[in-house]
Amino acid sequence: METKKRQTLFPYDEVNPSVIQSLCNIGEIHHYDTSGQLFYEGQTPIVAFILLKGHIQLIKNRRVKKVLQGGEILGLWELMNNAPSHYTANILDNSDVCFLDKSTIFEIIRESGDPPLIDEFVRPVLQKIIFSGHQDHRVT
Amino acid sequence: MTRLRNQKSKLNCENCPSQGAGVFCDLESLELQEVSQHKVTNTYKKGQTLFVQGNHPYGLYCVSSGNIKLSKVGADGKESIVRIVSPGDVIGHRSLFTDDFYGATATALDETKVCFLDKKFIMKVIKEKPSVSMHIIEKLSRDMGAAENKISSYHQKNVRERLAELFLVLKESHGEKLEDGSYHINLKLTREEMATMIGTASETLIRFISEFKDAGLIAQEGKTIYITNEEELLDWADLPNQ
Repeated sequence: METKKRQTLFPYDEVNPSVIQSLCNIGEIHHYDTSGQLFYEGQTPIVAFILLKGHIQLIKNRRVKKVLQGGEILGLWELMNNAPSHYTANILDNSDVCFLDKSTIFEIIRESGDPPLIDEFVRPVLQKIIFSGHQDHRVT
Repeated sequence: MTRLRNQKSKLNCENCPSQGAGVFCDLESLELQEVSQHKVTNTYKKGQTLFVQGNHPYGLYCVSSGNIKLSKVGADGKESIVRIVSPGDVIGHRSLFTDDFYGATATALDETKVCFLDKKFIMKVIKEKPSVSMHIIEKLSRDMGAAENKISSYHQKNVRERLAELFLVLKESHGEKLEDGSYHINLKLTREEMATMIGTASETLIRFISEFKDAGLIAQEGKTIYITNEEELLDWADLPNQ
């Protein structure tokens, strides 16, 4: 299981709660009664997921490599860079997720007037897009 | 640590294998580029699901290559295939416009390349480009026509007629004409899947397939089906206006 947390996956894996709240006001929140696949290994997530409650398992070779908790973001880097995910993401039952699609993310980048949102979300997203070729996002 | 090796090579709409059949195919080059830049393209292996019945709709899926089955699972757990989706088709549009949860599960029948466009983007394109709206309306109308035909088939036709009709539908959608005049159905379906498509049991389907083969209407090699006598099949299907 994951130990070197901060240098893994995505730098937004734990985001300031006020930023999460701002993002949730913009995105769509959905509840999962039952577990299900969000995306498969090798695919680009079609939206980014902010896990608000419950758990998301990241699976590789049929093994759970990491379990995401509430307040973590998944798939944003891959979505904005058209990059394949190294994991299959499986959401567990009784979880709440906020979806952020590409259009919404571009809207946030274009129109956000919320300083914490710009500092903690928009700027890093832009930097990640620009420097995407130099990032490492694998769980070690 | 290993670097994330590649950005995925993007499937450009202008080079899409389904070019000419999709809802965006009438767009100008620049507009197609915008769609290409915004979409997310993924390859699904056989058996992988694009979305699941009861889940929230994210946007519109445009099939570039491969085949997808749309199936509904009833309260008894039985699966029934409502539609087979081919290159150029879109899925997820109905839930998108009604804001309902997905009414069916979409599963890849073979290796399938699918492009995804989120709801906000597709709504913007629909508002700005009437040709896209018209194509979607056309697809919805065709789907509705097919659904109406299916309902009337269930009520008015017996299993033999429904099976003959299914072969003819598959011939139209996936048939490849061979030199001897027969058609190769370029879609591999299990007997269970075919049975659910005509609302019968697998055992009954197997019995009728044997009858069709004995009568020389079809031939079979493993899961591959050949239509060998289309005229007779039309007769057996008892289609209106024939």
